[in-house]
Amino acid sequence: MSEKISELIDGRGAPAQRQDVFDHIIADPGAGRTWRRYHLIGCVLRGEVGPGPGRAGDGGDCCARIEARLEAETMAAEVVPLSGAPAAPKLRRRAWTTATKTGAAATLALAASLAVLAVIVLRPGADGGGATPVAQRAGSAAATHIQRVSFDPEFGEMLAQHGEFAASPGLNGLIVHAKLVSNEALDR
Amino acid sequence: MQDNDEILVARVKRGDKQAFNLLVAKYQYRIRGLIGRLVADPGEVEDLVQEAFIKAYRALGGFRGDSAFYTWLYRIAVNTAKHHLAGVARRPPMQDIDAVDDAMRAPPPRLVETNTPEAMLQNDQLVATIRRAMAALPDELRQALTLRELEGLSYEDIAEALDCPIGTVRSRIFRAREAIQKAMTPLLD
Repeated sequence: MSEKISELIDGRGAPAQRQDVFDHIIADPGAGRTWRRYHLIGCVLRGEVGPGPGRAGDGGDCCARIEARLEAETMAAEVVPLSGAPAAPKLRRRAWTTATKTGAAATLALAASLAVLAVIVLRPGADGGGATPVAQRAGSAAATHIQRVSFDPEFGEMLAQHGEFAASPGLNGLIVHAKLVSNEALDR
Repeated sequence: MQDNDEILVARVKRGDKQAFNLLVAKYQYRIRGLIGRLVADPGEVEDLVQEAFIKAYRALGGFRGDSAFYTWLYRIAVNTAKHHLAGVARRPPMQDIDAVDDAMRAPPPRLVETNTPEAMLQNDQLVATIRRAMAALPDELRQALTLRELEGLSYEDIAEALDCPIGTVRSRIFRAREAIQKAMTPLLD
């Protein structure tokens, strides 16, 4: 087997054969040691490892520590199968990013809808004058919910003072102003 | 043809964690040397080596193979060292480091893990032992291994240079490695 490892290190053999040798190296600690030591020999001969301070070894310590750290992280994060491990954080981040963008857009749309609905429902005279609120006529669950909310009288007064934002019969309030702005721009 | 790194990376992506160990075993000396040249404190080098490999493992899913695995790993190691240096408020040396330049200009790295006197002695002994064992090899074995490891020649080219069959080249290189490994074993086991 050592001869096959030697060949493998030199990039010899068909991919299928090399896969078999890799399987053996992974399964057999002795073969793994040979793989590390052959690489160490090459590194020393090429001057990639030189004399000096340091605890010598064939690199098994380093591999073991990295493996232990990865194992600990995997257990801590309850990462599922190893196949997804390297890619999983990135995929999760992507999903999170996408969800955030979509969520923000949805939230904005919902807020805008509620604002329009609130303006329609809270038009002057609609909260105590006996007139039936528009939302109630619409009969939707959301509208019913809004109807139940008791608003501060000062808030109602403020809305009455800023009547341009309150719809008279229906949706005229805001849309009229929007049309005006639009027309001005077009006239120029 | 797929090289060994491509095969191992593919295996790691498929969930073979042990395959990553083989990549660590292969590149740890170069990465340790690289980080050792960027970070002055030898005590921090080992941690940074591990950190670089762990970052590489985590990011391996995004490695598309546009560059060689070592080039990609090299960048991760340099960035790991730079971030460390920035963290300790030092000016990161060799900002525009280049793999080839770096290999040419730098002194050989060491098997730095700790720098106790015993460790220094053991490391020096190991390197000296490997070099002595290489020098003591029969000429034909030493030539074959030198052409392979130092010159990077293929078996075919070595066979032509040494005027012998490829099978003989394969056998000589293996025997040379085995002889050296046998010499270093007492220091490691």
